[in-house]
Amino acid sequence: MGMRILAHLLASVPLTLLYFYVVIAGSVFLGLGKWSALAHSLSFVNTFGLLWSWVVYWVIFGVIQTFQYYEHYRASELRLERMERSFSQARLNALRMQLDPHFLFNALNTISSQIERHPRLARTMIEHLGDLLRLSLDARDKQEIPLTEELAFLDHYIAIQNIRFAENLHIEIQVAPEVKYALVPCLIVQPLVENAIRHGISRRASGGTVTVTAGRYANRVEIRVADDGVGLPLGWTIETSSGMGLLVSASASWISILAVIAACSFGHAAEAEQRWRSRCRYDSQKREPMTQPAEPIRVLVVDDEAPARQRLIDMLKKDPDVGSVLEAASGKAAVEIIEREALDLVFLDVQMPELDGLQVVGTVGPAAMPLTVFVTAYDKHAIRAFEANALDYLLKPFSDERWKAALARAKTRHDQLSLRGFGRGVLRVLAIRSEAVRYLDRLVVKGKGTTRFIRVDDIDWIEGAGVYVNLHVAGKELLYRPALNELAGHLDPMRFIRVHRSSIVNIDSIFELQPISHGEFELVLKNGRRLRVSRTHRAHLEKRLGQSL
Amino acid sequence: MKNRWVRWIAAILLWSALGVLFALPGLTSRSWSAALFASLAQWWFWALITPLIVWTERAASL
Repeated sequence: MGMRILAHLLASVPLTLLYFYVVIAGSVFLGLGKWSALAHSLSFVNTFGLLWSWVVYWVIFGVIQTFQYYEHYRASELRLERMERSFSQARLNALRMQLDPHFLFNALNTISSQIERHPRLARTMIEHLGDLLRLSLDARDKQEIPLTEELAFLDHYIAIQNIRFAENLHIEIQVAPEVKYALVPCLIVQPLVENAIRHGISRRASGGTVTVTAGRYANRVEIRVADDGVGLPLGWTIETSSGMGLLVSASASWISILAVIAACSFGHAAEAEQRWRSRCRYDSQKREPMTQPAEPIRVLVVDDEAPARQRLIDMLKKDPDVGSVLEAASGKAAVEIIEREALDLVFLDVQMPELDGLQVVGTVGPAAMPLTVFVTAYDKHAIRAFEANALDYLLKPFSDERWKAALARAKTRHDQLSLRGFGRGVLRVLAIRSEAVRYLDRLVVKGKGTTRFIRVDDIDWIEGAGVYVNLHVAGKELLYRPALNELAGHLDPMRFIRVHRSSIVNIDSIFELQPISHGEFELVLKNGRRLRVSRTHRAHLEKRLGQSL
Repeated sequence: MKNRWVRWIAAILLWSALGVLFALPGLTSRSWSAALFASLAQWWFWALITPLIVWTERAASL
């Protein structure tokens, strides 16, 4: 600012003088003044005129400054408005993207459970889910849509939820005719209904009703989503909630919607995922062999969703090792059954109304719980589940393979816990050992520009060559990378026998054995090749053949 | 283009209004037309000088 004032101080003097002399000259030309006025430029009149001109200069400067500040202010306001608009849009987009994965997973699980029993119902659900996803994608780039379109989207969502919750969920929609085509923020209603179901209805065993109303009030559209579920906790306010609040207000388009989205905290999600993944790796790599349990397993299936429960029951009933299968539709019922019945295994849903899966474990006590496999659509519960001594953790929708692995794991563990399981445990260890050592049946041999797959059975004999070996296959020699000692460990000892420090022979390729001297022999292969059997390795050969040479 | 013409006309009108405003005391005299013209001429000349002031402002702001 100082520099600018200095510049104007310097510029104002010559410009004022220029103005003054030009004005006097102009006056003379127009006959309004005399040239003598110029000769007395420092007279009182002229000095006043000069000062007046100088003041006018600064007034003009002031006006320019004011205008600039005003422009700057307007630009700032505009920028702020744009930022607010983009922020609102970002929040709307975030809200729109909350087509909750939990809902998707549960919907997929319900579809999976209905496919065999009610294929038509499953197909209907898939169609609704497809439409829902399609509309969700179509609406991605739209900011506002007519309320009728928004309700069409909601219809698909409700259709799926009705199948999931059956008679436990009632949804009423009342829309005033005059607002049917009013523009509303895209996908604003579905998340509200979803939250009403998730936080209000699904937490109550008897279910409830969600009411969606839309009407015109004064100069705005008001959309209300209400539920008669469990209600908000005492002392809850939007300011103190850990969820996400959204207030969309656009008076120009006469829309005013207040939505409260209670989003779950995702703390430790990464840790949970990591633990879950490591658990899965363990399952896939160390799948324990299935063994016959001592007695039929008594199983309890706990899930508040009837289709999901039925699917588990159906799968359990197919297993010959499973005896009676009990079911519970709520946490409270589960606690009663667990305390009353002598159960071996429980498949426990995590998210249930009133008493969730983890609270069931807490109520019964981890020590008194039968073997427990948690079943849920969200892996964020993984850490807590394993802390509750979960045997396994099934993530909805789960595949048949994953199910079999979990059941096998449960049966194995059940077996281990029984007395008869002890003996089998020894056998199992042996079985694991025998299964753990898998022998090669093909060797991948890379040559000049080609890679050949050599059947191990076709190899006549193998000759050590430093860090390589020479594979003798049908009269040809092929260089192969692993050293002889390393390769020997991967060959079936019933087929290949080491006869010398530098040679391994396929037993099927041996034609005859000829004694040389001092206990040493010479092998004659079917292709005529002769190989020496050292005294050290003669014993191995005798052991393999089960006869002395 | 149209916007530019509007701005030019608005500027001329603004400076003319100032000229008329400052000519008001002399309008009662017999030579009111000369007083009005002189005042208009002075303020129109300020209109010519104003771009120089704006240029100075911009140059000083850099």
